[in-house]
Amino acid sequence: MAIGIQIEHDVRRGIFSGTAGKVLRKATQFARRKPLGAFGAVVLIVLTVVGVFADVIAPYDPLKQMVGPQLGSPSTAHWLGTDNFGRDMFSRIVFGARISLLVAVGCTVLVIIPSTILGIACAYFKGWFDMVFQRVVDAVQAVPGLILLITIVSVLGGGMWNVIIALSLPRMITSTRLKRSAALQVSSQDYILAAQASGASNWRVMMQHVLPNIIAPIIIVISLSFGGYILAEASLSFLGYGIAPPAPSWGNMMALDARRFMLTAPHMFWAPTIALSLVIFGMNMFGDAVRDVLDPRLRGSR
Amino acid sequence: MSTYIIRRLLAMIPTWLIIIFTVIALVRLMPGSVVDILLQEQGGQGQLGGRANVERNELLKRMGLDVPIPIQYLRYVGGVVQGDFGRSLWSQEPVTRLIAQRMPVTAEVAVLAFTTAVIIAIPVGVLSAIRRDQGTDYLLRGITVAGISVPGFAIGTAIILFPQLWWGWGVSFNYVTLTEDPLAHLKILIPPALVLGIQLSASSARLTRTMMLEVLQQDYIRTARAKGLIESTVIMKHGLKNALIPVVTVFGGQIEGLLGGSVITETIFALPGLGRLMVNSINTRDYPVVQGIVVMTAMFLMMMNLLVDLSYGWLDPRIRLR
Repeated sequence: MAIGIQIEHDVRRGIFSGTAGKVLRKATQFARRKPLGAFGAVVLIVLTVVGVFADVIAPYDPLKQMVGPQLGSPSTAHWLGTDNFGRDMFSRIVFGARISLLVAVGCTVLVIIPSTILGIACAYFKGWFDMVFQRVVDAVQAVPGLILLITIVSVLGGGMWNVIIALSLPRMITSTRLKRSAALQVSSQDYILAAQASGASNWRVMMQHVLPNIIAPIIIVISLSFGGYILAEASLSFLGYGIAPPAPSWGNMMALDARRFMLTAPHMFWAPTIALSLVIFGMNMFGDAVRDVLDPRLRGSR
Repeated sequence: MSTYIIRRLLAMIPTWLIIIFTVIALVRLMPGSVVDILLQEQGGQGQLGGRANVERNELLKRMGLDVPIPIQYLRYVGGVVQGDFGRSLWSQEPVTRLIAQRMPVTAEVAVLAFTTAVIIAIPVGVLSAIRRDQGTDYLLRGITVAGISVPGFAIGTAIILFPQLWWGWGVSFNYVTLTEDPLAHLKILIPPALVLGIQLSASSARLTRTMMLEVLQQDYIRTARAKGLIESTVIMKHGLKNALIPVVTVFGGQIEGLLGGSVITETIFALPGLGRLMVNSINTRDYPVVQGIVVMTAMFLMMMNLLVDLSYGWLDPRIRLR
């Protein structure tokens, strides 16, 4: 508490001025109240930086074979050892971070825009459109996720962009439900009636009056879903349906070769496992903290 | 009550028709036709000219794949209503029989996983709640969060790896049926059940804790304490019983995860269950089998959801289902 008050005091004195000060103050408060959430935020930042600057950070080409000994243990030249093709594991982990980051961001963008528009439209127009669409949501929810994903990926074929599309399609439909229920509460409010009465178009009411009032649950869902996308991609790649080798996806790095050599070169298994678990842990904690801050009523709903 | 059940069952019909249509369309969109794979296996030249083409049409007709998709859809729905899910394109066995053969393995693992999860999750959640913000609570919460974060296929590989590394004891991959050797059978099913059970217990323990904390703040808990009941009675009879309602939902919601997760565990542990059948059928483009699995698991899940909703009313008389 003391630090918070101190900082608030400093802000009033103008040491942290403007938006930068506000952001910094918010961040400090967040870190003190939610240490695990702050850890998650750090993981998110590290993942982003590593993913964006993978070319600069990785000491070797992740695909180049025989840059070191085969199945070499961790050393000063190869921090996380080398795999059965003599590729540098550290570089592969770094480029794997790029893949995970692209999957998380790509899916989020692909899911959030259509599902928000559809969810609001369902709540706003109601009627037969809503009825039919809600049955489609039921249908997608009734099929076990991984089974549906494998089917879609088999249609689209492997590769990172196809995996991103495959992961997004079901979520695009199912995540309309939350936006719909949030929008339903909003659209019975007086200010919506007022906007309609003053002659605003449907699109304008939906985007200018409904959307801003359901932003909080949308942000919560976004932050809670990052980990899920990364895990789903890893699971698909592990099973051999996602991003195929030699591309360094953490999931496929844990699959065949890592398991074949797990007694002689356990680092081949541990490196991607720890990276993946740490990122998913961080994302979960970050998502939980964001939810607690934005909507205390939802606490523990997962 | 019965009108509620009937209404819910009727509402399943359109959902279920959408599922069938989607899955039929998806399966047929997969690149590489089963007919070409079959012809190639038999030494034919697949889609190349003359005679092969005649054979191809013949084969398509025999499999019922020569008519437009909407007709195939209607035929399929007609069959399913009569309990006929078609036959495997490869082995000619009825899909229902194939699924019935594989179902017990997946179900047994799921039941074992559920048992593991209940045994771990409820005590951990309750303990964590009564020791709120103490060392025990932090430790248990740390472990459960880790359990959520480590992917199932990593836990599975670790379960295979460690015993082998430390004690030279390997997980057996040779599947034995229950009737052949019950003990060996159980020994094979326990590792995959542990993997799923650990994951399931992590999320349920967290929820049990949250719900328990909420319940312990209620007035009736204070009343129970005030009338001099011993603490364990307060916790178990008045606390836990009321905290369990949302936990039942979570367990219900996890059935979907167990079915999806079975694809991974059955691959890692080489179990002949539904998940493996699904993966193999997709690889061989065995349309009727893929359709059958998706449609049946979806029906099963919808039924389970209904049961979960019904169990609310039973657990909490305040909730009236209409």
